[in-house]
Amino acid sequence: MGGNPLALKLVVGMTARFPLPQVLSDLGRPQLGQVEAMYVRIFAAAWEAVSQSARVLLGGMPLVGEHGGNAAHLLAVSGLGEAEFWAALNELLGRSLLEMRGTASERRYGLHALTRSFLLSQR
Amino acid sequence: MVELVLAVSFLDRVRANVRYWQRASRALAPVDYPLLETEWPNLVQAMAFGVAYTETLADAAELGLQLIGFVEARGRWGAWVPFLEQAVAGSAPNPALQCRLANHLGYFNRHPGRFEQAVAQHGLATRAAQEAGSQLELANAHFGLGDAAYFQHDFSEAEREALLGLQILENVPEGGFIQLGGINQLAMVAEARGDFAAAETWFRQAATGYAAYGHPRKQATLMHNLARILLSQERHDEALLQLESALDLLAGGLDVLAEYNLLLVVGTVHFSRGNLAGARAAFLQIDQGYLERFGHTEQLARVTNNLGNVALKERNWAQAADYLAYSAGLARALGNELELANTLGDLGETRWHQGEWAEAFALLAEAASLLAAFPDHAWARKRREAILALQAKLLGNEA
Repeated sequence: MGGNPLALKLVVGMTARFPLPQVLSDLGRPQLGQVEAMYVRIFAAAWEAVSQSARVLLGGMPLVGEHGGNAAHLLAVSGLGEAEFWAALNELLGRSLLEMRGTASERRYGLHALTRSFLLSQR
Repeated sequence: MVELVLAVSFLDRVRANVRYWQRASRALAPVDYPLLETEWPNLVQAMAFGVAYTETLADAAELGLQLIGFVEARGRWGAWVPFLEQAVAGSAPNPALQCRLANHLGYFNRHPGRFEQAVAQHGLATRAAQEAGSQLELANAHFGLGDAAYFQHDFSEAEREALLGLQILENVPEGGFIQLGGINQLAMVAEARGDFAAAETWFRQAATGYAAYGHPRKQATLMHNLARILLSQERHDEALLQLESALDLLAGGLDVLAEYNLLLVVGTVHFSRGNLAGARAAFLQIDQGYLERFGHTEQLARVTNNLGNVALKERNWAQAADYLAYSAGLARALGNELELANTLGDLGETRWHQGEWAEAFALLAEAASLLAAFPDHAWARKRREAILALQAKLLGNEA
């Protein structure tokens, strides 16, 4: 995984839905210089593995600053209903596609820099 | 698959984001600005993406205007200028919106001394305001042109534009608030010409006007200007009273930059009275790191000049030279010849005390030469006379 902790987490997240041998086989064995392409494959696979609501929420996340946004902000950007939103948020946190920030009294959610780069590159 | 889903929904998300911030910031008064502080990176994101798409540009432009008070209060016009530029360029079909945007962009360009761009934007605002039939924005554009002229030391042009703007507002019942800007401009011109009595009357009138409109930031700025006039007349107690009241108005981080400007005058009043410890304490309350981080070079040049002057009075030559050389470098980079001349004069005196006579004379000569270019500026005339007298004194001592 190029030693990247986020990539490892994403792969672990995918195993909740797909068998590990298949996940590893899909990723292939990257050669030097192919690490970037491997990340794209990991993110694309992670994207495929999440629900439509989660994709909608994740698709709007590049609009949120690097320090993250609160739930009210993310809810408004996503355009999802409240129940759908919380389910999508939990799903993305569980798959390490979103990161939790802030404090217990003021929780914020944001993107890892690699996830942000991936999403922006796909627009 | 990824590309398809993102492309379809992203524009909707951009629009939803801009509208979320419109709603969230609409009801916020200046006293709530600290709440916006933590959201600054999100506001920047909303503007950056909002102005990037034709479909969301008008909404983003309205958000940009809605947040102007906050941006001004934090002195972050540098971050807002690119967004306003895109919004102005994209709002040509809507002259009513374009003239408002262009006027703000003009003022935001003037702050860092980009006079050519400021004049161009106010010129554009003039044409857009005429097309939109907005007398308010037309007057505001003339005040903007006057503002740019004032800061280029063309006081006749500044006065002419201020009077033109005020004349336009004579028949506009809702023009009272904008009119106060024109009155402030007339006062600043009077101050620059050394007519302190007229300046004081106008500054007081405008400060009272802003108080009546419940605009503490503008009121504090006018009280700052008034205190400067009082200081020029050595009315120290009155000046401090104005400054303390103005600082009270800005309590709670309402306008950090205006607060620093007030502290600069507070320190100068103490300095003028010979209270060097009080002066230093006031200047050191100003966060130089903040000024540096957000590109407020003019204020940074002033505070370092003032700290250099305190050290000079204390005969701490090495510290004075450090501060003053840094300040002179900043003023030179800004192209602010008045500030540069002032600092070079002080640095020249410092270097003379350090025994560097040749350098001292060169610095004083440059300062006097720079000040000679401002014959209409009362302070510049007075400062030049002081520098020439210092030169003569040092020449006598050296001989």
